[in-house]
Amino acid sequence: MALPRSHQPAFTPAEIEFIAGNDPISVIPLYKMPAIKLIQATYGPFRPPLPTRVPLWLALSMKKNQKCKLLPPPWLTVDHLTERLEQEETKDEFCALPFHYMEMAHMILESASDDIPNAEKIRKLLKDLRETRQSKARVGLEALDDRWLGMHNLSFMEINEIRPFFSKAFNEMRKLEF
Amino acid sequence: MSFDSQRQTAESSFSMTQANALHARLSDDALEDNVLELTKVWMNERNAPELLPYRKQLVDFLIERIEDQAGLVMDHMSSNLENKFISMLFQTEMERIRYLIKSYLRTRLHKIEKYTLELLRRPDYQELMSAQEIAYARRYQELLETYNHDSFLHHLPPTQHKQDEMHGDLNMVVTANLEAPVFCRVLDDVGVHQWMVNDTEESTEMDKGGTYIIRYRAIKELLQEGRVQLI
Repeated sequence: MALPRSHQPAFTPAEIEFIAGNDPISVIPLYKMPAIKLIQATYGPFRPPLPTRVPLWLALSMKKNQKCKLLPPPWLTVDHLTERLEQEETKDEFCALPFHYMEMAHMILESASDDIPNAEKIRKLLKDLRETRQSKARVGLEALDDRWLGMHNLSFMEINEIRPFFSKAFNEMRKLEF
Repeated sequence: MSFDSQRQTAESSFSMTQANALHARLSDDALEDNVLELTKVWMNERNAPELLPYRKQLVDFLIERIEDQAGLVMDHMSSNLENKFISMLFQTEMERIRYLIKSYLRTRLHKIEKYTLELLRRPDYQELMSAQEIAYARRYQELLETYNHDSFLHHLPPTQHKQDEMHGDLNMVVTANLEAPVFCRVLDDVGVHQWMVNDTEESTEMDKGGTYIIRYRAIKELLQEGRVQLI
């Protein structure tokens, strides 16, 4: 098969991390480095301790080689996530979270948890957020028919999770309505 | 309700003013970034049920840049630790772009294998597929037909030999299912969008940043105009 069977119904989680890797993040370089001219854009020059914007994959690569410290993105703080969790639990709609919040948080916590204050608390908050949103998604399934369904503020990983099931359900309903 | 559908009374979804700043650059129109454009194109191709037009200039441009970069890396190879790290960065980026291109081409080949005859018979097939893809499609179709014929068709009476017959509603030629659901994200304000389902008209308000699951045919034109993206 030209496209492997595992890739056909939805994106694989690895591919989702790949896509999220393009999102920009700020880093504080530890060593002086000249500007790097990549195909996508030119990054740098890196002059400690000035923060620089680079794509996430580049930041994680540098972090693994101990060339920088990561600056957590503004939404990856205990205060912000607690506020979002409250909103999530009180309101019916999904609260606004960055499209790639799950993958980015996972990648950052995996390689750079020492740069994130309160990493454990953040992990717990993310887990709670994910569970609340999942249960909302299940409730929303009842609203699915063969016309259309709005699901705003759903993040990419969540969409990918429900994609195979929702697509199949939609198709079956479409056939029934005929 | 966490989701809205046409069954509910209209209620605009969450205010997104703060979210817009945080939200993905999927809706960004900032710089002309070929890698981001190819990522978008690749995501569209993966999710769309039919073959989308081939983005020849984009792919050719990136392949050329990769080759240039590869030449540069070869020239600057040295045993200096610092440079090793930097050349590793170059190579990582090249691998990332290569993966995008490969996956894009593989997705297209998968669809070409599925809908070979239908695609070759379309009047605009040359915009749809690259020259190599057309050659691939022709060879594949020939292979398939010869195989079918030699393995069992030749045993049947000659009137049953055709492999592209139409019988009432049923067509032997596999066509793309345009009614399949897709998840899409609105990049520009579309306002009220209408489309026909059977004999009834459906409509919904589509604002920038909204996410919908909807049948492909309804947003096909918006996709071509670049006002929505499939996710």
